[in-house]
Amino acid sequence: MTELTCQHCQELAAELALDILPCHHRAQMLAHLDRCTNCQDTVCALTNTVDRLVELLPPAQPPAGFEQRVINALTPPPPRARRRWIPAAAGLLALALATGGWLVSRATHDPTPPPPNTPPISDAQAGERTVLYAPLTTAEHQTAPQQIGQAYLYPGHPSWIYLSLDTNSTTTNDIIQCEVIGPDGSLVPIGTFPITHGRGTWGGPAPVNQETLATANLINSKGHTLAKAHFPHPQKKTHPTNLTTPHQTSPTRPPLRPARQRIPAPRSGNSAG
Amino acid sequence: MGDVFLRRAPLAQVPDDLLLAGLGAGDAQAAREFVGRFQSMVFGVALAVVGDRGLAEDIAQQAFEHAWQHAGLYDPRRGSVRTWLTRIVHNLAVDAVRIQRPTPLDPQDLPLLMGGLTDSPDRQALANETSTQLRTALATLPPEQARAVVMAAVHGLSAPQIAQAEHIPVGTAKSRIYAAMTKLHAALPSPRANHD
Repeated sequence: MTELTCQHCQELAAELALDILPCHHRAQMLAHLDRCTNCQDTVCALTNTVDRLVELLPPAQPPAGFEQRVINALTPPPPRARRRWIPAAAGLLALALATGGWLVSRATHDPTPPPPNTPPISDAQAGERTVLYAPLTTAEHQTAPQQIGQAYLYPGHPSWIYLSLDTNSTTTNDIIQCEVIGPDGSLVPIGTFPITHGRGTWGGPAPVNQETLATANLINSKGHTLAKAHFPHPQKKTHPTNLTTPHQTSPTRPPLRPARQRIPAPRSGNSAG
Repeated sequence: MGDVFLRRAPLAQVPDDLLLAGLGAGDAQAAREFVGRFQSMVFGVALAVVGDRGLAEDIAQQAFEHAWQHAGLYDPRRGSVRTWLTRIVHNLAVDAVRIQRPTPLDPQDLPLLMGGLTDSPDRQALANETSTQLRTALATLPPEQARAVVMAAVHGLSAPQIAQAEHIPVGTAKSRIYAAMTKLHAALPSPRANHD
């Protein structure tokens, strides 16, 4: 395969970014990019321009029923429910009403534990929910732990976790295992994710609830605990705040904004890559 | 350390990437909010590329299914959820057009599409600075360069296909694409400035 010069690459960079290069030129470009950071930067910048250009395309209202068809495809009903749609619809409605929101903040609530078999926290308004947040801190400096990421957990049905890690070590490439430790010391592995150049994010199902979760641990491939996120029992005093996400904040400053600050409207936010 | 922050918030205020994490985990409410938030954008991209509402609907649905199945692969360092999802639906739409149509673009459609990209009053109200600058830059390109870059970026046409559609040599088509992309890129703020 003929090697490309930087000049050739610069000439073809726009077509690579547009994904319209013929296969043989594409292979030559990728081989060159493997060893040339300058040309990599050019292609990345032009790819960003293509992304912005495609995002200019005007939105269009999809046909009636589209949203429901997509929802059905994403969350298929169980087989028995397919045969009897009316009870299924009733069941879904009941479920939506029962779990209709996110859990209410405990920040200002009476610390008295809720009665057994009662949801410990419930939302007054459907469509509202609470996500738990805890900083991911280095495990080795217990006296002055350093924050190196964020952990978000939704302890509902289904429960899920979202982690963002930045170790400040640009040479670290590893596979990280995430495990959850309960108040009784029980340990549940919930998944693995890669970090490249010391950074990584991961989200996925986490079989936990507020009663069983105590700590999320991140373990590196050598078996060492890289970071921990400690979620105290929900009856402890907590602090309400707005939701932001890792890429909106710097790891070196408080990750969440003051409670009274407005959250940007989601449809206009998150536009920059 | 060890504080847990709790916040009751309407789903509409949950950030896109947290919502995507919920979607990937099978959270039905998160899925509904995610689809509601992005369906117009996803369908609009698919429709602009394929030009057929039925096919666009299929592609838009595939895009959401892809996002659901691959939510764990989303990396916020490489762009916003909106950008990631736009890339997914655009790739699916371009692939569908390449398979289904030997001539991927009706020349009659191009002026309409150009108008949608450069002059969209509804979007102007929501537009950020970056998109406004890009829209302006696109509108001020020489028309032949603007056509070339739109055919390439939106419809995925290669330089030889653009040359055929415009009745020009392939080298000229490549030059137009290169010139247009260079100008559009120069019109955008640098990524660093964009984050500040």
